[in-house]
Amino acid sequence: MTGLLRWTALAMAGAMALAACQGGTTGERETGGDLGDPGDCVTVDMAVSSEKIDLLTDLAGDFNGSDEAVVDGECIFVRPYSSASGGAMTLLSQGWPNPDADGPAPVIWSPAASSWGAILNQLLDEQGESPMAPADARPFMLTPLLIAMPEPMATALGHPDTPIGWADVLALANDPEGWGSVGHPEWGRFRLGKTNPNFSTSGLSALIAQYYAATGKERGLSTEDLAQDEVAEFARGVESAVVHYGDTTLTFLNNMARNDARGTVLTYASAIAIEEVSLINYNRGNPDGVLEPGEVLEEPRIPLVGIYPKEGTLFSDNPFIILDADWVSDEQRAGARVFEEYVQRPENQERVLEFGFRPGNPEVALGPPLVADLGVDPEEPQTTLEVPPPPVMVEVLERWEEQRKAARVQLVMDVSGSMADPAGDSRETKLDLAVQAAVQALDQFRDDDEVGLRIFSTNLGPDGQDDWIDLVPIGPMSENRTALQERLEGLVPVAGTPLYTVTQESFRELRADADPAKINAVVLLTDGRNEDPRNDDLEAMLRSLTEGLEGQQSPVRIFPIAYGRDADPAVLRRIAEATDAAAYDSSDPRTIDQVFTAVISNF
Amino acid sequence: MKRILALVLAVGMVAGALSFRSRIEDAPLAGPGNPPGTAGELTLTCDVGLEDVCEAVADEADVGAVAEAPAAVADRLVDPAGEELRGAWLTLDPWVEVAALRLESAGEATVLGDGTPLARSPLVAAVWEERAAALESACGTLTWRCVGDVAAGSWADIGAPEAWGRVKVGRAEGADAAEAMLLLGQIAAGYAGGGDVSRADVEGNAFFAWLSRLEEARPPLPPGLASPIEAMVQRGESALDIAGVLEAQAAPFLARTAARAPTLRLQPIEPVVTANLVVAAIGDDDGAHALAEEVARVAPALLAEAGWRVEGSPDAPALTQVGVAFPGGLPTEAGLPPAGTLFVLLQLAQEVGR
Repeated sequence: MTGLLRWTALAMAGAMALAACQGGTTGERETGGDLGDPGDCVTVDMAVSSEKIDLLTDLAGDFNGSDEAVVDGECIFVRPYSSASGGAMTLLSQGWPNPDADGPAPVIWSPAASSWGAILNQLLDEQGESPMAPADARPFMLTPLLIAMPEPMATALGHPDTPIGWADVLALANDPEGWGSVGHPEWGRFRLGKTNPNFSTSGLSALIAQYYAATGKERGLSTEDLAQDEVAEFARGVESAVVHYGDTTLTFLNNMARNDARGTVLTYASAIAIEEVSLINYNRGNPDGVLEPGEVLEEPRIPLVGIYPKEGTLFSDNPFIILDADWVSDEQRAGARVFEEYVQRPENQERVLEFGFRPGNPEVALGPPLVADLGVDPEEPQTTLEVPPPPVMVEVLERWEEQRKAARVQLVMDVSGSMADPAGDSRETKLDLAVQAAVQALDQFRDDDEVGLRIFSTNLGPDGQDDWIDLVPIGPMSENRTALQERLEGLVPVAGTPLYTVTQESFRELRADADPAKINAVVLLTDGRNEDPRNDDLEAMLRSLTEGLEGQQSPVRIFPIAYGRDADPAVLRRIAEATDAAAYDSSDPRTIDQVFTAVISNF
Repeated sequence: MKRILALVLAVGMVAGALSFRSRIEDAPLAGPGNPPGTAGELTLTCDVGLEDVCEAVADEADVGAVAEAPAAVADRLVDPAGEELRGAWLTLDPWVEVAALRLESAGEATVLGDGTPLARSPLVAAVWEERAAALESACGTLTWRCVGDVAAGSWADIGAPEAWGRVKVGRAEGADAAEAMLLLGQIAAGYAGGGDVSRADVEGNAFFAWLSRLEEARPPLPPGLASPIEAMVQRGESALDIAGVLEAQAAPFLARTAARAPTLRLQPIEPVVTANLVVAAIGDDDGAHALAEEVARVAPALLAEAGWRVEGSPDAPALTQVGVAFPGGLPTEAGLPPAGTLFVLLQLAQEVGR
């Protein structure tokens, strides 16, 4: 598999997993609201990255049915739906093969950044097909990538008077004194939150920016640059400070907000690489950027401030791409152009601004919420970095696989009796599907990652007295890979679910043996609720996790997967939150392979 | 008095139109089912960026209009197998001369009339207020020589804030930009200290190295954006610190977008160079010449409204608002190197870019 194909496969899996984690099922698309029936109008389907689905749904809602939604006497009906950039790109490269599962093939595609369009065209070119994304597609809203830091930390580094960049992040990450080197030993080591670039546009932009910083360039990043030893060393240095990765910046922002509420934000993460719009939402008290009915915004006690890296940054430019695809009719194309003109109008671009993005239409001035009070600076950034050509981006991702922070992970699998239940309509059991997904996910680990396998249920062990068994002790994947696969494939369902005990003990053991150079984590898959009367005190268990995290230089994170309908997502979410991690939802067992992929994206 | 003037003008226009009609009545016209640009038709060909003026003039003259990069028009004229072009060409000087030179070197007969000047516009700098001040503080007057000398270096090297990063310099670029070649001429004239620049001057190693540094300082335009000034307004200082632009194109845009980029200014950059917009007949028949004359009659007023400087016409509001003041007036001469040198410069810039 070429690098590009492998990447697109991961992006696809990640996008589907994200849908699953958000409560949907594979292939199910999220819309920002019910726009009604298009009737006989020319329907223009629009695939947009998730952060702008609410905005586009608002705009389409106003547009549809208005006097302006007409072309050649026919009415136009625009239907935006959320589709992660990488996933949509992969589907487009395949000709949008399964509209029944993936929704109608889009007429308009608006990924987070133009680079996705370039990659799509590259992929099509490799397949001997014509480009689908016109290179002159106009951006209609922008947001730069920045390094968000809790205000006291940014101040300690000299912000706003001293320019700060990735080189400073590297220096702090490599300093054994950590924050002590700038007079704040109480903040511990420097910890960086950064998403997995295979899944997240922010993660990819941050990675590209890092490499530019390492080379001292602002454009023309080449594969030769990436091969230099000092560039690799720089990259490893930055990655060494990473808390964990993951598929979305929302994980970090939600954890920051929770830590802020309990006064521990300065020891969770020192900085996170996010888009400007996300920082604005966080400081408004809306870390996930979605305002639920009745939700009250509560501003953080310690706000984040935006550091626009002195070496330069990239914009997510949200192009409005009217696809050159054979399923797009002339009427749809004309309708799409009318909607683009509508979206670019100053009055609608003002709404873009209200959502925290920079308007694409230069006739609209920047203003609130792009203000210093919300931690951002409309006069920044000072340098835009060039988006590298697709082959270089693929090389960037391949290098990252080598240079990312290694992981030390305990896979904890539920083998309780309920795992023998059928997974939906198929003859396969829930355990069958979980095992297949876990085996598949093993490929995502590098040889120097350390992974172990623990199973849990009541009545385990030679005397039937154990609550868990370590089938494969934690060790390097170079040694454990085959054993893990074999032991996983030999799993059989047993009895009850001692969830709290295995959670607590797995956390405790990994903590005792944590490796500061690695991401230390427990992946906990369970299809049930705690069924162990000997240990059924949830609050005590959570307290022990929270207390176990305090003062840890190498914190252990627990990433639970709620598997099947009988799992208890609320409890599992609390377990994740207690360790500043994220919980994943695979209530439909058929999504488990994508969910596993997303979970492993944290490493 | 105004009424009398208006009446005289109207009579003049009608008379002109009738005269034009009578001279081209036998020529095939573009229209429905007969799109412009088809071989043998009278067509008004204009530089990209002049679409509005072009269409208005073409409507007046009842001919078809196409907007096309001048280099592409020159290619079509030179291509012996290409379709025959016939009509009038509204373009920046010296593109007509460049095309004529290329025809001559290809052994083809020249079918181009002399370009009749219609309007002028200076090549100026779009620059952020503070950065212009920093450059002037380092170099005195803002000149291309100064900009080229500091290009791609750190702003801190000339005493400006380190946070500004490197000096990023843009200019109109791409095959569609007719003014790109002229800006290169202005830049070369800046390097040499005047417009008297020969091919030998620009083909030397020293100039090549200097131009390379200037090109190194030029980030590519972000996807979907057509001009450096658009990038500057949309993305602020992160896109470019300074760019060479054609005032007639930049001023109307900047006037519309001033609220987004309140500290972005158009100002003179030395040497002062003006772009002259000319119309030339393509083809040596009466119809082509008549069309060129009609364009020369109708276009100036429209060009003045669009932001060009036209003798005897008031400046457009955009020029009054954000245009560049030249207290002593614009020089009579364009101030550009000869056409042959300009064409070499264009090729040189492409080579540097590679």
